[in-house]
Amino acid sequence: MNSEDSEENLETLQEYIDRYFEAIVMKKHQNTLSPAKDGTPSSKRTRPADSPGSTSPTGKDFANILDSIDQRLSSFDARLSLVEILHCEFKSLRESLEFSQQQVETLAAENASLRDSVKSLKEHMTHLNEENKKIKETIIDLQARSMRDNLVFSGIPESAEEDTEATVKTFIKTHLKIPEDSVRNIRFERIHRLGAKRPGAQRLLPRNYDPSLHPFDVPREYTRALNATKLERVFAKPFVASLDGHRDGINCMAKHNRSLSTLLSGACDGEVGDDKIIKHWSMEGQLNGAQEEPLNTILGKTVYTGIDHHWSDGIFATCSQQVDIWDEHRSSPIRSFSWGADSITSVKFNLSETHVLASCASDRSIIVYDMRQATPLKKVIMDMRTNALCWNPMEAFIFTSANEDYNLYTFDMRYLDTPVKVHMDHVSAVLDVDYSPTGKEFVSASFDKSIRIFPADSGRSREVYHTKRMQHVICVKWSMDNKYILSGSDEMNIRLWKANASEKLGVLTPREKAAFNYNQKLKDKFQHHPQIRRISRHRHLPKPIFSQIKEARIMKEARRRKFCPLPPNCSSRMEGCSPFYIHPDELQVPPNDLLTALPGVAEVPAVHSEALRVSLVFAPPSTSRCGGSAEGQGSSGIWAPPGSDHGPL
Amino acid sequence: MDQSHQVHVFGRIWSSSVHGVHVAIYCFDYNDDDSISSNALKRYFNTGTNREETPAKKKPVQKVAKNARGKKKSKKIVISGKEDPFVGDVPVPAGKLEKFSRGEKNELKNLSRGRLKDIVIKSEENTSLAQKQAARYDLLLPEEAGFLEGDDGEDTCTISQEDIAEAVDITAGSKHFNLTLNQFGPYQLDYTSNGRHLILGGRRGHIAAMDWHTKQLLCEINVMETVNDIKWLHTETMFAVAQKKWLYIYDNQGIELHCLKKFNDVLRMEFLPYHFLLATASATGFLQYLDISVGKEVNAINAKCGRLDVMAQNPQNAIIHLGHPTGTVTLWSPSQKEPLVKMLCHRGGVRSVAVDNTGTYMVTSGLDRKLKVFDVRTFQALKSYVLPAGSSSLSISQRGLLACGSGNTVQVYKNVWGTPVNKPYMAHSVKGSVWGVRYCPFEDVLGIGHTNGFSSMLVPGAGEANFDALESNPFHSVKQRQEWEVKALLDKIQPELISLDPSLLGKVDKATLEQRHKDKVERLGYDPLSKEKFIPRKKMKGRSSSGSTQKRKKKVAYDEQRNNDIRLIIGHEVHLDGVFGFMRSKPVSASHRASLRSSCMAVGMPQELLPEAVTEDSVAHSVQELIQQAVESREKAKKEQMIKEKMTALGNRKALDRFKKSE
Repeated sequence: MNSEDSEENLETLQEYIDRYFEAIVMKKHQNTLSPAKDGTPSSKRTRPADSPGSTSPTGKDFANILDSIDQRLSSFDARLSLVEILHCEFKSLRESLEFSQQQVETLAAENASLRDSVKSLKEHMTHLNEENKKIKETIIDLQARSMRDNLVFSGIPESAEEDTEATVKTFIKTHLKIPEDSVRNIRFERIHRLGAKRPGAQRLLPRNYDPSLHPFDVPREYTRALNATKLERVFAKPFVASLDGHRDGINCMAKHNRSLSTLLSGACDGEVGDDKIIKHWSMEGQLNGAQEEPLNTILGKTVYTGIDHHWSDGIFATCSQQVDIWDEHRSSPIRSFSWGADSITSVKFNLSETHVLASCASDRSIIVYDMRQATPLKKVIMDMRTNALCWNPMEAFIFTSANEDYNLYTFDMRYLDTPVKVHMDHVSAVLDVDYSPTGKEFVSASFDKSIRIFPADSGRSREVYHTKRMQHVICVKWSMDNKYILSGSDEMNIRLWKANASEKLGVLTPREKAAFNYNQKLKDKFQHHPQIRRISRHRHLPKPIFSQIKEARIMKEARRRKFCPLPPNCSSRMEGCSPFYIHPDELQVPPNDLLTALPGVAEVPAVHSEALRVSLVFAPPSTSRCGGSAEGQGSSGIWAPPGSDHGPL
Repeated sequence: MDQSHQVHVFGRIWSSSVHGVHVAIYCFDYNDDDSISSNALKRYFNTGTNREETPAKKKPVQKVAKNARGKKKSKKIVISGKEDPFVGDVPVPAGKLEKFSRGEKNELKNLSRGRLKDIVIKSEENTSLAQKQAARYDLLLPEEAGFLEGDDGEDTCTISQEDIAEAVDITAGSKHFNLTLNQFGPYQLDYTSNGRHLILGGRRGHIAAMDWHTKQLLCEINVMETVNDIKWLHTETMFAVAQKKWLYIYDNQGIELHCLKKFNDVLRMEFLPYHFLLATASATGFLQYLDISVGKEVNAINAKCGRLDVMAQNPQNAIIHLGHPTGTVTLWSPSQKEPLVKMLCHRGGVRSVAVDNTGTYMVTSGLDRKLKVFDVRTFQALKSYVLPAGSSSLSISQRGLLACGSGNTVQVYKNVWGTPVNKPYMAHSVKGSVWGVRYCPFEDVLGIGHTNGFSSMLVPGAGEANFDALESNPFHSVKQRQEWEVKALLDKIQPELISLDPSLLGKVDKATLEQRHKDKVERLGYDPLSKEKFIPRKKMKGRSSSGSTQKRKKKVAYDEQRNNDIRLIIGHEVHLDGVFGFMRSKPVSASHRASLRSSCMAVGMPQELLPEAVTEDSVAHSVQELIQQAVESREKAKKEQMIKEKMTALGNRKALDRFKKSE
């Protein structure tokens, strides 16, 4: 057995020795035992050399055994020495370990002390940083003060008529103890008291805008906004005056483009006739009602239905069966346009693109012309007749048309296939429209005896004006100072309204102005809060209009249900169109198979499905209730609500 | 205070300042027709009589145009040709700017380009301008605040009141005084919101109202009844007294105006000045609100916490804090019958509560002799101190000094919520046990009511140095007071608006998904997401027997359930994009493949299945298969479970065995 092996099996040594002795004893008594059986008790580790080689128990065997024991003992000695060496090594290891332990401890102590010092340094640093910050702030503060280049002295009593410079100089002398010579050398640019002089009160109320001194800023502003909104409704008295004198319904009005106080109005005054005459008048003469002679009279071939003057040049346009462009100094038109022979009801010059004009005809078309060209530019055909139109004075390409189907349509003249916006709210045909000079709003006159003001980009009106006596409104104008609206109606009166119903007229004091501005800002800020919106939107309406709005809503709902009876998860039936929702305020393209069933568009100028939007949702029940001629309406005076079976009046 | 108003006022003040040798000119930019607040204040400098600098004369116009974008780098042109030592804008200290900030800026990230964005940008510009102007105006405030500072090694708390009163000027010194009223004590006290008037209420019925600056007595009466608490209403003309039985209101002549029998056994009162509400806490456990502008009870809330004798209000949001014997503090608003917040603050009962002027911190003291500081925005305890004798009454000044009354001493602590304090800033002892302490607004004075009368203590740095005359003016005339009263009544905030966050009203109410869906349903008249109930079609030839219709119904229900299952699995485990991009068949990008891989792992699909030149189809296919398998196995398990349950319920062992065999 070699030493390596024994090293491995130190603990089994005793076992081996025991076994050998056992084996010897056994062999003494059982000599007949086979060597195979003899080998069984030895474990795997026993090698053949270790096991007794022969079965005969002789002296030689003993000698062998003794030899082996000798060998073993010597190997034991070697092993013992090895153990001793190991022990020594172990000892030294322990020592080194103890030493390193000590080292570690000392290091830990050092580390702790270092950490402490770092901590204190850090604290010191933060302290320094804070101080530094504070110093910086004070420096900036001082700089800010010095950059103001001014000094504020407070607590100097005020006399009735004081010389401020002298007062300050004496103050500096007496209170700041600065010698008089240097005080004399100080140059002042200006010295004054803060704030305006107010009898019986301090000049300037001391203010401090620290937010913690002004709690509840939002709820207080909200309360103020609510009060301002209520007051606005309380003071909403838009009607200013009524101008009478006509003996028939007002047919047309014209505002002077330079004089605010001049308005021209026209009525039939009981006479009905087709005189085919254009008369040219001077505005220079006296306007005291005395009869005047026209400068020029032109006899035309057809009955003229509308006229508009160019905004700067001596050119005007008339419409009859065609649109004629006239020079003031010639008796024949310089240009004539026609596109589809029918009577054209109105023509309007563009204010900024002065060569462009638009007209609307009784064949339900709107035509745009350029004076420089021989032929009209564009045409769009609506599903019902357009009564009037007006160009936006600020956006040259935008115009709004008043339609017979209760709506107004704002078009971009470059893209006539779809309107930019559809303005709804009237419950009867819209007869006239006029833009405010700012181009942000327009006013419309309707057969439903009311006028409405629409923001140019909104589909709903912001205001409705009506009185008990006002009948069908035929024409309407927005004054050039943006403050008033003039409406001419069937019952022979021209009414003057405020454009902003609650506006205070007359000269405002600066404080009033500031208060109005402040309130306006508050109302804007909180306009979407439900309470405020409810109050600001509330309008009293005459019973017929109110009930017709309700009726229209029901009709719209019914139509929506008819066109979109299925929830969108059944949209697979409607191949080719996306999920088909109809929002009451949005115009939608109907499914293809419904097209024929619709009160349709007669002609669609472009093959573009979107063009159908115009006509789909808002088809009124009857088409020809409100005729174009004002005379006819004025004479009947009875007005039937839509949906009733009265037919044309 | 609204910002637009500020801008206006600043314009006025600024224009009065003179800049160097040049006349400062302020031009209002009327680019838009909105209102004054959008008219940004700009200034440029007139070159005066210098004719040589003709090009400079043109400059102002260009500058205004530039300034309209908020970029100001105007260089002063000086006649003498000297360089301007301070080029650029007047700097604003950052700390000051922070003080005047009003909440966070609006986020522009989620706004699409459009009108709303422009509006938001414009309003942000205005807000920041107003903030800057307010911070600049702060430099012009006439008074400066400061604290008492001891010599080296000297504790400020050892300085006696007499020493301070001697050291300061006569007017300030006269604000330290004692009133010996030993017959009807102990005394409760209250100052008006402008700090001009003081009212004392002795427990045994003595009431005295005075202008304490001039020491002029307004009235002195004895109500011949126990007085529990006393409170000024919005002005010095009226005060409320909680007497033995009922609540009384007197005018400043001592004439009884009202006796409110609805308010019985009131122990503590708080007046909410902006809501014109008097909140009372009674021995019967009721918290009641009285609208003093109309004289109606707004709400009576049973706090269900027993006797209520500890009360405070948060001046920033008008929430009432009540302390209870159980150690809890509850927060109340008149619109709710339940407490908004319930906090366990002490192990013993709560003795006193106070909230600081910024509405950020609440300080409580309890029977466990502890003084705790809480952040009332997060409702977390910040600091906890042990006071040897506890504290019976607390008060916090406008600038954050805490006064604790305990026994016959009053201690004032500085910055209890900041660095931990270990000694008081000031201390004062009175000749009797302290009953009530209250700081006087806009004055460095602490009023102490005790058993032997009243003491007025000087606490340097306690009050706000600069008052705002339009908010509360200590020096107002009668006319000004009347004017203010009318305006304040017009601005009266409705009690329903009292909430933990008063600025909530100015924030965008983002509709939740549910709300939007509800609106949509209302608008459309039907629910676009709802499923129609399946009604089996009528079939002919006897195929519409009740059994077969039932079968068909079941099949539909089963399919639906299955679809839901798939949706659930996908929703939980698979990245939706990765799996349902299978409608297109195109090579997948590297990043997309990574996401697909992760989705594969999520459903337990080995990654090796994902070839390099993978298309979305193949992945989707295999993923689909996996999903199919998962669904099927789940269904199978479910089915087994169901059948087993059924069988066991029936007790049909045979059938069970048969089922097992078939398996």
